[in-house]
Amino acid sequence: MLKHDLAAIALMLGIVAGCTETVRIKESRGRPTQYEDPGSPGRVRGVGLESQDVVSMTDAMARDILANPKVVGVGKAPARVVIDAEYLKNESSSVNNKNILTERLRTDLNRAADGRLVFLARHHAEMVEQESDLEKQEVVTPGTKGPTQQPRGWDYRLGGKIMSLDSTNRATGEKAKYHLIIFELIERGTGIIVWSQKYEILKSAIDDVVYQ
Amino acid sequence: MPRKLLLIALVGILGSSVGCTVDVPEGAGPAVRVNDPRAPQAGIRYDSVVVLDKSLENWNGKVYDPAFAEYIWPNKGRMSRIAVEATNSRRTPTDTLEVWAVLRNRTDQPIQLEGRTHFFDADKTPAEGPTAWKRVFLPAQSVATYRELSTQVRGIGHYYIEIREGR
Repeated sequence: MLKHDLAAIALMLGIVAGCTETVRIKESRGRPTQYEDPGSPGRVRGVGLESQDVVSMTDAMARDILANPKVVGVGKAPARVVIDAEYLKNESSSVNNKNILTERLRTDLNRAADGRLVFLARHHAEMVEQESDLEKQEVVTPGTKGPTQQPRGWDYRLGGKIMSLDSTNRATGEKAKYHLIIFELIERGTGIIVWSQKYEILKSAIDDVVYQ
Repeated sequence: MPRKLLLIALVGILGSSVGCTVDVPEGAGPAVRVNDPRAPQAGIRYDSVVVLDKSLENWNGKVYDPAFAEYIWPNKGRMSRIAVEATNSRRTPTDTLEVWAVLRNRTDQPIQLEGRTHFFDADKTPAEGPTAWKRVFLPAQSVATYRELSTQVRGIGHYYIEIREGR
């Protein structure tokens, strides 16, 4: 009888031990936040568009535009250009913030052009219009530069597309992504493409990351 | 005893005089320029191309020698994987400066490189920030050109191209 009781107790203990899951907490030290160079690949890397691609692309575009005599006419009045994401279409499979490309490009170009090109803030058109209306209603005085002038029309506007091709190796899980990004400057009225440039990026990795 | 005292006094005088001449390491130290004949590669060599990564410069790999139909180590331990065949600059139609470097892959393996350029004015003052890293693909035994443009016009007098292995 005692043997049976001991056996039953041992069995019950074994079942209980087997049912309880030992949870091991990995007590590893975390890594403090550190700054990284946005122009170089970071610690978190995947096959999508990343900071180094944006930096490299916009830097190359700005330099190429400033070297184009059709856009930057030497000895002529500076052309008026609109650089925004209004006509930049994302046809890729990635979730891309198009503004990150156009905003960086416009900022770099505006600073580097130094008057050789003039940039129109169509993305702030509402702000400009609101102040004009207040001036017309005589709610505010004209600025120190005199009465408000009429907003300017553009000579060239940026358009383009972001496209991609994806492939996955089912056996190994390796992924590859090819991005083709096209930028064009279109002449007002004629629709002539006065400048265009393409950027191609092909990346492959086994472990991909999540892009947001 | 007097000799011992004399010796102790002498040691004390020497010690205090040495202590008076030793610099006290307090405050921020000055940043110095390396100007040592034993370090000929230190400094900036204007209007030239430099290779940043030692892994590109000191390569222990084999190259195929067609004369002997075998793989050999031409300069074991001190061979560069790439060669800079030419570098130069010229003005674009809009007066910005275009610089380029023709690179050659000396190995039988494809290499990915990145290049960037610093632009200086005629007085060797930095004229604009370094350009973004631009990727250059070099298939085995092939050549490729790294090309870059300045944004400024007349203010550019010198350039300095840096090449590193693609990250």
